[in-house]
Amino acid sequence: MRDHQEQLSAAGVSVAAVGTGDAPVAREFKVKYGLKFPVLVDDALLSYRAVQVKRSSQLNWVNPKVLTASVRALSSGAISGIASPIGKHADFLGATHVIRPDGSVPFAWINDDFGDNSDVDEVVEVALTGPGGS
Amino acid sequence: MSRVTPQPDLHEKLGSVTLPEADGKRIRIGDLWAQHTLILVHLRHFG
Repeated sequence: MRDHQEQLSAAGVSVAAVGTGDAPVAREFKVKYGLKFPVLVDDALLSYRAVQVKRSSQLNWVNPKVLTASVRALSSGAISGIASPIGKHADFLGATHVIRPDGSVPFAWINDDFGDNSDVDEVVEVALTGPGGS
Repeated sequence: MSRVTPQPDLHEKLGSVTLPEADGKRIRIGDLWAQHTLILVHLRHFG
């Protein structure tokens, strides 16, 4: 999403990220990745529960797809250099939503496992199409 | 693939949640889409 910041901003689309942990780790994350959009901290999981984010099962840790994604992330340095990035809610997975000013949700994605992420290009396309986008 | 049908009342349940931003400023999530379409990403972790 970071790579689409300028395009989305120019089209009037906002972006925000939510993570668990604490503010210092969130600030470090925001600086490290050059994020210009809000990065919210939700260690009480209020928004995670509202969107019904799934929790991983122990089997996820031995899923070949998950292991591959973990190795890729570690080798790329994507999860290094930030103190305690995982925090105490390591079993909570992610989600992606596009929400319009009228409250409609044209895109909703709830991760099924650690490697199950939404397609960024698809999300951007949905956000840029229709009211509130371009 | 996990694209799902959104909860019909998602904007109501999520909109009232207020969270601190990385700089400490508190933000009501619903305010983020009041004027513009919002892409909201829930991360597994900051990393």
